[in-house]
Amino acid sequence: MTGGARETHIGHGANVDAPAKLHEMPEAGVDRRSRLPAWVVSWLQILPLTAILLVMFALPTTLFLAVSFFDYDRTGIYPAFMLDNYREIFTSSSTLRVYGSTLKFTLIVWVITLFLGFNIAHFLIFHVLNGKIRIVLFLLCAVPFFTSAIIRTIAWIPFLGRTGAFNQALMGLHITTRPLDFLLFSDFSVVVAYVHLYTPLMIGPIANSLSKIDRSLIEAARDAGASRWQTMTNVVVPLSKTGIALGSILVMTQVMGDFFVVRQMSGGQSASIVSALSTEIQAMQHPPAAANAMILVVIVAIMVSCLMRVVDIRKELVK
Amino acid sequence: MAEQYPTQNPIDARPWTFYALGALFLLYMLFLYGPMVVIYTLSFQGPNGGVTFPIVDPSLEWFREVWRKGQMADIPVAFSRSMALASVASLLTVVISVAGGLAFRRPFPGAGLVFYLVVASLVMPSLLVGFGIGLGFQFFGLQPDLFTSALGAQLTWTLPFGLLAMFAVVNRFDRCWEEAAADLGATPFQRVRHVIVPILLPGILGVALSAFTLSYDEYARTTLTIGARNTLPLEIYALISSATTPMLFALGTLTTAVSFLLIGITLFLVLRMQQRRQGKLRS
Amino acid sequence: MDPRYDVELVSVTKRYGATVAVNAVSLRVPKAGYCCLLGPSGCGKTSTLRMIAGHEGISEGDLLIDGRNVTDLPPTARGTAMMFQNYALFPHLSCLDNVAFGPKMRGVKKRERHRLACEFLDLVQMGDYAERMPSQLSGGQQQRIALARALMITFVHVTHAQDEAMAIADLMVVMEGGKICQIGSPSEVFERPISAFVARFIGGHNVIPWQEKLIAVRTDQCVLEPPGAGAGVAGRVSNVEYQGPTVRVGLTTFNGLEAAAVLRDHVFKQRPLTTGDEVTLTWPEACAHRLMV
Repeated sequence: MTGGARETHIGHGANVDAPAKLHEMPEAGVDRRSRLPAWVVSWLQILPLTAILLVMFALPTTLFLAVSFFDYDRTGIYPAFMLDNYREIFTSSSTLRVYGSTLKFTLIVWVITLFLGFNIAHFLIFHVLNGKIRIVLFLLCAVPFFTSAIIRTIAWIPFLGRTGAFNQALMGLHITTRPLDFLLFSDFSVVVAYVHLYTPLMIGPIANSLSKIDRSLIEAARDAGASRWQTMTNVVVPLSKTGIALGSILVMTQVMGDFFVVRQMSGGQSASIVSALSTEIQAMQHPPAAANAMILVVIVAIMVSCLMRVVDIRKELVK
Repeated sequence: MAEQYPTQNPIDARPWTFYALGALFLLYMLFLYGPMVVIYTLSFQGPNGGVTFPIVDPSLEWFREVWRKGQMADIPVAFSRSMALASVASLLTVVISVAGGLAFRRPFPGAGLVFYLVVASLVMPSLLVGFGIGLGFQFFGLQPDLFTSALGAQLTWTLPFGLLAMFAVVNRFDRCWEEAAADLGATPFQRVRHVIVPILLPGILGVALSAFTLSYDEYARTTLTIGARNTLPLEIYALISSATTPMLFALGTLTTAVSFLLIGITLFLVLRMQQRRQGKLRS
Repeated sequence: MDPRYDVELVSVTKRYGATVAVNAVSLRVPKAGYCCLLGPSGCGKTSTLRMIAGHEGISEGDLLIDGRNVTDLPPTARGTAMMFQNYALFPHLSCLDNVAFGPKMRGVKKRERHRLACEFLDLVQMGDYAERMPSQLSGGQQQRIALARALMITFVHVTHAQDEAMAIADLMVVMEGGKICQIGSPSEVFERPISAFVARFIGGHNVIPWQEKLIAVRTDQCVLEPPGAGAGVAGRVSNVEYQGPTVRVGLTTFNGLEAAAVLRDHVFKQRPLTTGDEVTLTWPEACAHRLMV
């Protein structure tokens, strides 16, 4: 410890150079800064998340990649490497029908939620001036997302039915004389339910992107003579690409992965990829279900990576 | 980048787009809440009423029916299971997401891969996740159960949400406080416990709430991984096919009320915290 | 080491009229070192602290913070040498808790660190703002709180609870009569006190004139032998105090000196003593420590 460097001051001690010989601080024991390199700390922090996702997501995915090549019959499944499951899917006409139906819904819902989501986000960010009111309105939009999707879906049934609230209102206001049939158990109701459920997923990311836009850019565009529409298309929309992309990913993957809404709201007339899949799973036909699942995963992966190529989401979110 | 919101120039009147968008917003609100209001109203249907209007003898009959242990479903038990599972999922999500959010503050090898893993887990069709986990458990001869397979499946949904939310929360955290704490002699663990977490607490509460409600309402990932004992959404799902009574509406009202209650409590706590930091609460 | 918060006093003197409260004190405290100022009242430790905080003017000498001479700067300007640009006050803690943060990380108990924090708040004239939140303060006020917080980690002003100071301080500064008697780590000051004053002030030592010099021996290293046992100091037991695992035997030497020996209880039981017994106080040669003054 202090072999020699003990300096004492008694009386009038100090010369100007005394401080140089002053007592050295002894090692205080605990080093207050972490001794670990920064990246190790980050890895330790991210480890639980990575571990859980690897075990509960990555591993199962590779599992049904494997199972998709298996053989099966009424009694069980047998490890094998066959392409038969895939062949059957690609040659089946119902496959085309189901995929076509799902993709059709996905596209329609995407367009509508994008339109609604963008306009509402724009309204909240650019037109609502009071911060407190904006937060309240935003909460009003967001809160339903955190309630049960099942309830919200079936809530449409008494609303849109022949004797439902909407029809009764229309007739009561003398807009129609007979109840409208197409409202429920049709493509219309499916789309309505999807839009109802998933528009918040658009509003959130787009609002987030819009709020980050530098106001001075918009003013500069105005000063340069751009009309409001031109400002919108040339400044606002390009700058909110990330939000649009993220919202689109969320909405499209939700629609493509749905099995409940389409069944309920179409009255069984339409099917979705996943609802067909769930039928196979219930019938214990795991290998073809797995093959179906893999194809869906591949399609979703292609869609998502296309969207992420347009916009580097990681840079935007993590920053 | 700091968020900027427009300030009103007193000379400008509101442009016509304000009214157009405002009307759209109003319609959206009606669209969003309309069906829910219909369900709440129909919950008070009389004992002899049907599943649509008109309301015949408003009563609490169907609320009472919810509590009765029926042949098809046992609501109170399923409810308690849902609450228990959601609590665990929420707690785990918060702890793991906070750690993850802190991890991403600096670049580290493999950060990109982890990010894509998270996004993949988020966009993966829910039923497929459950399917995969169910298969896995089957292969290893394990029984799917509430706090193993179901919890794991739900975490693949709540963790990505939590992590993305934590990115936003942590980005608003100024490192100067952390440095100040370090200069004041705090060890890294003390910095997290006494400075980072307390300052970020409102955001963390938000993550906890989202994780809780997402788990509480989750059905697609849970249905193939739950084993024999249902959570509330799955009980509701089972009831739908056999539903010929407004009991389902009453159930929907109740479960939504629980969600609203939790959201309300969390908002209240967050508001209180912010007020306290602005010194408005102390006398 | 980051030289931030390096506080250096160069021959600093403080006079109140004709009284010299601090007499040419030189001291350098590196950052994040817990420095404990000890001494009887009137020794000048409070004045020293007040000068550093800018609460008092410096009569002679220089005060350097972070290498900059801030002697003539007003307190607010002086403060900026020690802080971040935005003061980095914790928004979720009151002013008092902000100032007490450093000691809390070090494990100082609540009552003690709050008491100290109040003292430091008074030093920067923000005593009334203890319960306020940082967001309620003006820029200048926040600066003063940040100054108090920074000072807290550099100086722990202890008037009693010496053993606590020993536990947490890295540097002990013993002052007397406006001058620094000894600076060192707690163990250094305790094991090798420089002067009789320090030895007596720190406690736990016998100060004994021995063979034409003055030595200090720790009471727990002293041994009591029967009278006439040889080298040592003869005397009579004045009191016996049971302290649990140890027994403190006070004695008066025949020279009139007060001394004591702290013995392990099993040692004491081998030869129990009572008041009035004659004993010889001895010690191992190596434990005797020569005092300068």
